[in-house]
Amino acid sequence: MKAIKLLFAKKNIILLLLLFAFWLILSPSVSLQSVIIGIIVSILVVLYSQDVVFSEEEVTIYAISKLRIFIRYLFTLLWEIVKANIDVAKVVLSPKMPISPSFIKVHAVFKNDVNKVIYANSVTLTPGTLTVDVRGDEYIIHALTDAAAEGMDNSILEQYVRKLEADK
Amino acid sequence: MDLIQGIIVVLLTLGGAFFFLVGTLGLIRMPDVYCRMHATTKCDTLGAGLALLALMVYKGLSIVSLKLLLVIVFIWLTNPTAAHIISKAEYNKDNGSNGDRQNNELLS
Repeated sequence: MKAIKLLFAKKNIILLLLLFAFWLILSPSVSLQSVIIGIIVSILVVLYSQDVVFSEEEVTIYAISKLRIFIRYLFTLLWEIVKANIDVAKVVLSPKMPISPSFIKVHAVFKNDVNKVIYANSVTLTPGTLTVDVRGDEYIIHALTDAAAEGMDNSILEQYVRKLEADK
Repeated sequence: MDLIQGIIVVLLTLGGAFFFLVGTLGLIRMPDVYCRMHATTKCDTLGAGLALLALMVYKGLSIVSLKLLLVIVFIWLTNPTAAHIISKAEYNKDNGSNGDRQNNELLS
């Protein structure tokens, strides 16, 4: 009985819905046949991936309140990406190439790994910074210019990820 | 209506091509691995993003646009991860023993 209860945990249901939505988007036409096959395959994948599936505590954005913050965060990130590209384009196209590459260490404490990944990946996507390695709570970040290195202190993205992690 | 759509598609495609050009130029001009990674990752994300966005506008609202959106999402997830792995390999090579030990742990 306990095993059956575990199978209906929130994480499994969400994974099932995500997989099924993915199947529906990729299938060429929505018919009874494809829907049934999709459900069966999704259930099989969920059963098979029991050992590796993220738990609810790990993925804080499974909660509805966090999802709203996450969507706002995505739009901020999008704007930052556009700015990053224009900055890098300027640096690359200017004849003198005003770069001053340096390594900086940023100390940012996040309790769970998924948020760490979100933070590290968004640092890579944003202006002139590139996450090289994560050791414990230390992020080793390579900055292309001095301005980018200074901007890493308590950046807007870090605040957002902190909000994602905070309790309600 | 078609004219406006066409203009938007052309502008987006040009933007995508521009950022790919910048990324390639950066790859050639930058001095070392890390700086090159900056140029390629930044410009690839927006270059591919704009090119796919142009295709989405071209197709209009349909299931194909949704698929293209998924492609963008996956590119934006995998691109920083790949950049991170490449630069980490370079960093470990530069900093000797510590990195080697970590790699061995990963491999064994």
